[in-house]
Amino acid sequence: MSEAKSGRRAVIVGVATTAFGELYRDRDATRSAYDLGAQAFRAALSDAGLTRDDVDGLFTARLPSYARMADLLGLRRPAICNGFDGSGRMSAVTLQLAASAIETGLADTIACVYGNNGRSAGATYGGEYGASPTSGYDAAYGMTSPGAYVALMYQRYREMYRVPDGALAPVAINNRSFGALNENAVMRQPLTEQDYLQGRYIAEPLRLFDYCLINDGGVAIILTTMDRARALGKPLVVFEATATCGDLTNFYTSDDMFYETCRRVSERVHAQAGTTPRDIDCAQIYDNFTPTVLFSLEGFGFCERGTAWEWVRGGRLGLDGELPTNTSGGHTSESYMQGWALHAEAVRQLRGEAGPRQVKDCEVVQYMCAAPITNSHILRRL
Amino acid sequence: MADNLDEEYWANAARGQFVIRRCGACGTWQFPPSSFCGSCLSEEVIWARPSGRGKVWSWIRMHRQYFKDFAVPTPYLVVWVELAEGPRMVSTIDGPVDRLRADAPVEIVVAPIGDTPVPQFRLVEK
Repeated sequence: MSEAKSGRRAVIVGVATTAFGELYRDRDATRSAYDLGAQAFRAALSDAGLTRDDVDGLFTARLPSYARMADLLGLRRPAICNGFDGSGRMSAVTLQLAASAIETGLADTIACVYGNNGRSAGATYGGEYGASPTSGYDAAYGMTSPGAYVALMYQRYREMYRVPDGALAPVAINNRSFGALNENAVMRQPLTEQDYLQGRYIAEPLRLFDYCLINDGGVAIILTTMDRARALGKPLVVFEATATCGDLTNFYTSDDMFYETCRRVSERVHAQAGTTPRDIDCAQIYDNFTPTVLFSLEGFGFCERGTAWEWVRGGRLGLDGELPTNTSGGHTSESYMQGWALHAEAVRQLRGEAGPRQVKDCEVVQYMCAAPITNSHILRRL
Repeated sequence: MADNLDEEYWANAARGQFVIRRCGACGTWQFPPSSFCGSCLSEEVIWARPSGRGKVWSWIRMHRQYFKDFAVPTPYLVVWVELAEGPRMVSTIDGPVDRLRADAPVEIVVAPIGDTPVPQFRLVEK
């Protein structure tokens, strides 16, 4: 983030997440993604101490029509507006651009709104014809779904580093242990290694508990200028650093498991923030599938390449561990909100609002996403 | 233009042939077919027959029936092959596979999935 006049520095002042568990338990409901986004928006306003009329920018994610969302929210004339697609990589992109827009003066108070009715809509995240311009070449062999493309990476990783079966269990179990501490999580029952191993294969070698949930929910995050944030009297959560690097080929599968891509982003964010991985108090790691946590830990320098599968053993990712990770339950236990709930949790940890999940003395949180657009922020509360 | 390239690729496969695209200016091979060379941005891209050799970068077994009308029942094998010429492609191994390891050498064979001839691979002795 370039040096902004300090009064315009972007601050995250409002976060809200819908009650994922409650929504999930209502099995018959069919919900609108727009309604879920609107609920989150309203709650985020309340969290920030803002009114709807204070908001002069709208970024939507996953919602097919930003105009529809704006109309529902009564945001008729935003100074900046855009709709981002719902892929997980876009959550950090949306927030980066919202912060940039504030710092350059395009708008003062931007609401980022995400709504997902995947469960109501019967989403399968695979098997869609025409998923991309070239997906037909893969569909001819029955190949589809991001999970299967991540599974390709993990299978090779296993062979390269002689990784035994079950090595991903600690990642899934860690997520679940935090889900158990999160009253809004979808999945809260403890997960044992046996449960994990008995989970059915989806794209072998990946199993059920390696996969993100499919559920309904909304998340909203509101950013404003430092001057306004101070006037609101809210905790000042800022981006100490943020960076992106693409790994753009015809495939989701990256032939180095995103290692070089993560390494470049890591170098930039730590240079911007003046930190090293050892300074990170808490991590929010994009986990559409558990292997991406391993790839992120390696690429972002928390452990040596090829060793993350060992590093995650022994509770390193837990509340009392070296790097508490995905402290609200992650995408496999809290909710599959494509990065958005991870960002909300990052903010809550920094504010000291995480209750039983609270990381002690949490001052620096790093968000990471290893994907065809890889990104990371280092967030701090001033 | 792109639609015609896809059709032509599958028409070649229907005739039992594995034909992909190569840049006439810089020689870079590409897959899937395109009108542009991603290496030098030339449009002098032509159809060309690769060696048919490659290696298995990785594989998975799909246990979920995402495509209701896919001819092969689950679980089925999917491989990601790195062709000797450079491009990568999704495919499968023709015939039963006992053990598969990364970097296994393969060669092309056009064989049917259901009624449709598609480029597949068979394992070769090292």
